[in-house]
Amino acid sequence: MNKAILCVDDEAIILSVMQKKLQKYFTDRVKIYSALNAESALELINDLHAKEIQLMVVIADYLMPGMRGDEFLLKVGNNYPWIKSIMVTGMAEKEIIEDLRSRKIVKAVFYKPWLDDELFSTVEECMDF
Amino acid sequence: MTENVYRNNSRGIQQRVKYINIFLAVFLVLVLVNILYRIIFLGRLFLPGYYFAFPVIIILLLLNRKGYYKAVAMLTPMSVLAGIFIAITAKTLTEISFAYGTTVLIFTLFFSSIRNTMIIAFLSIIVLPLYYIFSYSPENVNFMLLFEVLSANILIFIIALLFARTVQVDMDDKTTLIGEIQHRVNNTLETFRGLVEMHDFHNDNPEIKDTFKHLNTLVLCMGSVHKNIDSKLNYHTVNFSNTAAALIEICSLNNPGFSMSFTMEKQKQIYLRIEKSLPLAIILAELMQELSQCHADGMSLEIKKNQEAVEIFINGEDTQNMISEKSITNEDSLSGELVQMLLMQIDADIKVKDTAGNLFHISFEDLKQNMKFR
Repeated sequence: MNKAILCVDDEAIILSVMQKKLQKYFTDRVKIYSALNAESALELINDLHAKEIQLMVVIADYLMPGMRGDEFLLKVGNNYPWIKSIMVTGMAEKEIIEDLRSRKIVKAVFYKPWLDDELFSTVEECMDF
Repeated sequence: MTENVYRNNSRGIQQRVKYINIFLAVFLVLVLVNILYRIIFLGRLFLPGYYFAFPVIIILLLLNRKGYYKAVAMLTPMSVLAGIFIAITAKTLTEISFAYGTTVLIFTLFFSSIRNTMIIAFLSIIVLPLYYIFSYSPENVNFMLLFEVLSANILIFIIALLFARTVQVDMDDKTTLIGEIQHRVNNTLETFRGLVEMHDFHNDNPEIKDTFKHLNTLVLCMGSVHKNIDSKLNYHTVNFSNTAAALIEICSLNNPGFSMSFTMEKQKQIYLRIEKSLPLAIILAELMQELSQCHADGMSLEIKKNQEAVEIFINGEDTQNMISEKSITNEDSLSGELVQMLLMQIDADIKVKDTAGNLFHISFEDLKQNMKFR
């Protein structure tokens, strides 16, 4: 198993539950990683890349202290164009979401609280098993 | 996010200030020409009283640029009041003409809207010269009077523009704050759902797991209402058509095998007030939950809204005859208590298995919708 998904959210509870639910859904097919902010997520992505772990999907919150979700996903897209990005948000500005979608920076956007099944199926599509 | 929106607002403000500066520059040129005309052709420098407003405009503009919007909002009506005083004490036809402009400002600004004030002031700038030219023979046109009346109207136009800008900035700030609160509400709902699910992970009791699932569904229902709050209608109104569709989807995902079609009258989107929408969403979720356990076929949800009331019909075949008046009015059950409590909150009536063949028929009066800003 060298495929991976990375979840990034500054809310520890949301992050932990998302990680557990994704791990339960994908069982041992995929390893789920998590980070509490964009900066440590970027470091983690570099580490995973160095270890030749294939990071397939990044799920990031929009509003986080420090680097925001859209900036983070833009950096991920520029450095690792094969990684698919999904954004979760409480209520981001529609213009920003449209911009991210039109520039194909994010594959999908989910508003909190999201429906798990929808998120899982979108992640599964991105995984391209 | 808030900072970013404020930055976007600032860009809009800068653009508007640019337009105000153009008008102010035009006004300055007009004043300068007026002064030169008086000195060169009349040989005296007498300025009408309303020219006092000129330094006031500069002060307002400077305060605007510095971001002291509240000071501007206070000074603007004060300058209008001073203008009224001058109009009342006017001795010359020029000053009386200024009273016309002031009256326009007062009546349109306070009894109509800022936009109308600007339109009327702008039209006055166009119409007044035509009036003077067509009222007098060309050789008798009092160009000085015409010029001063035009100046007064331009002045009013600038004041209205400043006032509009001040109100707009205030509204933009409030919209930003409401958006931020919305974000926090949705984030908190997701955190709460996460907490429930963490408990669920650490619990093997099937009954408790069912309770967690129920809580989870209710949080998702509340979330669907918040997601459909319409920002264009001042955050008071919810697109309930989208909410109802989301409720059916939530119930279908949580209860495999459950399906329900949703029809709207003439494909119209139905909007309800937030205070009605949230309890109604929970009531519908509870009813759907009950129906999902009945395994009823061919179910449909229909919402009708007219000027007086909202009517909701849930139709379907009660195959196992499990839906009875008793089940929904039984306050000993959590579901029954919730539904009864929330029906009372929105002052709604419910009929179970009525003569028309509906499984549920909910009706309540909707509040008059009058929340758009002028």
